Amino acid sequence: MKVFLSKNGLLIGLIAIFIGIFAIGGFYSRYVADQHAVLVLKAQQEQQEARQEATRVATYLALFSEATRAEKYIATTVTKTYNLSGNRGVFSPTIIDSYHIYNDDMEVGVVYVVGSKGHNEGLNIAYAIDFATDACIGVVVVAQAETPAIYGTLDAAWFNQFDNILLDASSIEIDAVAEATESSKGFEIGLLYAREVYAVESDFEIPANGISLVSMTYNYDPTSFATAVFIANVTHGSEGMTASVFLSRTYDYIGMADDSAALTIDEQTALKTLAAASGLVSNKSWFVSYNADTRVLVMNAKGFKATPIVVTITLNTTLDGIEGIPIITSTETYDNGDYDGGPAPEVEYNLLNQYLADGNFVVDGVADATITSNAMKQLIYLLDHFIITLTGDE
Amino acid sequence: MARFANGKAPFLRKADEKTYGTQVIMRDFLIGLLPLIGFAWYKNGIKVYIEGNATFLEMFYPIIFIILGGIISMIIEGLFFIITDKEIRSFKSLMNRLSLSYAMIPGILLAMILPLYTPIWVLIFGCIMATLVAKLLFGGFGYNIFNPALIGYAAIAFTLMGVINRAGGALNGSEVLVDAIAGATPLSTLSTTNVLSYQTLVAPYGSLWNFFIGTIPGALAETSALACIISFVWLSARKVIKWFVPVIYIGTVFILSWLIGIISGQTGIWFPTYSILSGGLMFGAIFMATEPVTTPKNPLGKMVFALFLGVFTVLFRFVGQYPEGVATSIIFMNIFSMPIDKWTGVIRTEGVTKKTIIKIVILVILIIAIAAYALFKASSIYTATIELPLIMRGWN
Repeated sequence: MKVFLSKNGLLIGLIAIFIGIFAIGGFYSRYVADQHAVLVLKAQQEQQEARQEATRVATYLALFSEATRAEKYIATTVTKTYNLSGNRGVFSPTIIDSYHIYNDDMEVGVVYVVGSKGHNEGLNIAYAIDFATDACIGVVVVAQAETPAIYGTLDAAWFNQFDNILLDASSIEIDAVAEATESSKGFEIGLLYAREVYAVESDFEIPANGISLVSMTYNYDPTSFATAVFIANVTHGSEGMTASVFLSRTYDYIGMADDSAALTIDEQTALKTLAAASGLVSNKSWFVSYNADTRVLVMNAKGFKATPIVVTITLNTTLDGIEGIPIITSTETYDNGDYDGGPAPEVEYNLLNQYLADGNFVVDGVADATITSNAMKQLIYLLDHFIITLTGDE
Repeated sequence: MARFANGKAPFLRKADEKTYGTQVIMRDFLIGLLPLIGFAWYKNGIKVYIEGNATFLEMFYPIIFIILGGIISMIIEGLFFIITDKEIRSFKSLMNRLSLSYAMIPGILLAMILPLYTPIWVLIFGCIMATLVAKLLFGGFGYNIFNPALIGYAAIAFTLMGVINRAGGALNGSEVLVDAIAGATPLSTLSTTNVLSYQTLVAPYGSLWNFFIGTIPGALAETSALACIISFVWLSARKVIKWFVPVIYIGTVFILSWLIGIISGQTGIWFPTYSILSGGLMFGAIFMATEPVTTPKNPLGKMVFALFLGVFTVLFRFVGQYPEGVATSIIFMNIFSMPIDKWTGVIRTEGVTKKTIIKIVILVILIIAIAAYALFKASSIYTATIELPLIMRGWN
């Protein structure tokens, strides 16, 4: 072995080095090439995105009569929620891109690319707003994932309605295409949201919503009164449309009580404020449930304590009166212990017995138990009118 | 009576051996390569790493690649000598033999003219072709006919360029991110267009200043004209090369390119400047066209050789639209080194006589004919961007 190595060691050594360079060099080359390939791919993607961006910006500039360049910037974040069509819930659009539009050095407008939702999310629309007129002067659909056959019904004539939409109109509605209501609604949501952002970033003011509260009543319908405590009659929109609206105990919008179109979020917010301040109804007492088979009616009344007073009443077979003794569950302490009489539900039964005695919902309150008395008065009022609606008597 | 040596170059007086021996020549030659190697490392390694487009290991790839080229060619020669020369049995005797054979040079030069992302195994293949085939099989150092590095390069270019391109090609990590680059290298862009326009040929890569500095895509170490000029000054001062060979070669290309530009309608000086600054012309003219073994020995022969190189480079680049004009023309002219040497040797010693006039005429006619053919064909291929005069602009 020693002789062999002494004769051929150099040769073997050189061959071993050569093979080592071949093998290690191969791995190293492959590593370097792979790293480079990733970089090349990234560069190609960036270049492609840059080209697409340049093409998009060119289409945005074309919407303006005189625009020479666009400058990308980050728009102010605005959080707004809008109702989707077809009771599909709500959606909060976002700004994907935003551009200042210039004619040489003079800024002439802005373009907001809004991520909206039609039938599907991913409906990205660019809205061009002209500073001179505070109007939307055109749209460009950047991306969409709508059903092709349905989205295809939105033709050029439909898109023309975006060519001059004044943003200072009290109400903005986009004409929907019958077969593409959800997609159409997506465009409307995007435009309203663009208007919101525009108002935040400029001195443009969105006009106040045209909604007014005409009247409010209690909801006596057992199928809905558990959640929709009130019915508000309103007029709204630029044309003063009338509508009936379900409201919750806290005056939140539940839904429409008639066939009218749903209120916008802004109108809902405005209505809550109006309803809460109107004093037309009281939310001290409300219906919980009614079982038509057993004629058992459950009601709550908010007295002094946080835990409401629960009153369970069984109506008689003719539904014009009460059968048996109502069951009252109460943890009231009657004006924080000022009442000298017995523990709850003494006051509650006092008022209820007054009603049962003469059938008159106007009952006398109990001294030193004012809050509880007022709650029970409201409950008795509702009970009386519920019975009336069941019997149809006035 | 004058005596003329007729063997293999280089010829040196024994008295000059210590200050001017072949060892000194090769040392100076390697020093001359340093500006290009340094620039190659900076442009394709350090700069790309600083810009964040390469990892730390990738930063060293250019320098490792060049050094590996030299090592691989040394190993190939070492194996050859061990197998063929029974007297070489020790490491010392082997290293002695390798130093006399200048084994590293072909590998280093080959690595410097290859694209950055050449796989190592392709480099090994090229070194085998350069060292074993082009040099050793012809008899070793001093006996080879063709420039070994260029044979290795040609073998790779004709067979494995697709492999190199798939591995990454010539664009380094920062160059791939530049949107404006039209082709992988300026000459590959020229080979795909018939319009001699500054906007097409130069602007995508910056300006002619970029060509001069070398911050353009290309082979690993041949893009910088500035580094080449620094090397040229050093090598000429150290008398490693004859200064007039690169000057005549590059000058011929410059003049012929200018004429092609004029004929095609492009009268700007930028076009001939672009021609001499792009590709491996500077590198080839300084390091390959002056190689003492494969080029003519006498000064007149070198001049004629350089003239032919210039003419053929223009022919291959502009008429053949082949990016590898320099390498191809040098390999082609290597075939004629000996006849040119003999003819010009006779002309030089005997002067213009009845015997030598025919040789002179043939050489002149050949040069002029090839140049004329190149100009004629190029004029039908290329056009310049034509600007409408002001008076005509409103007519359409």
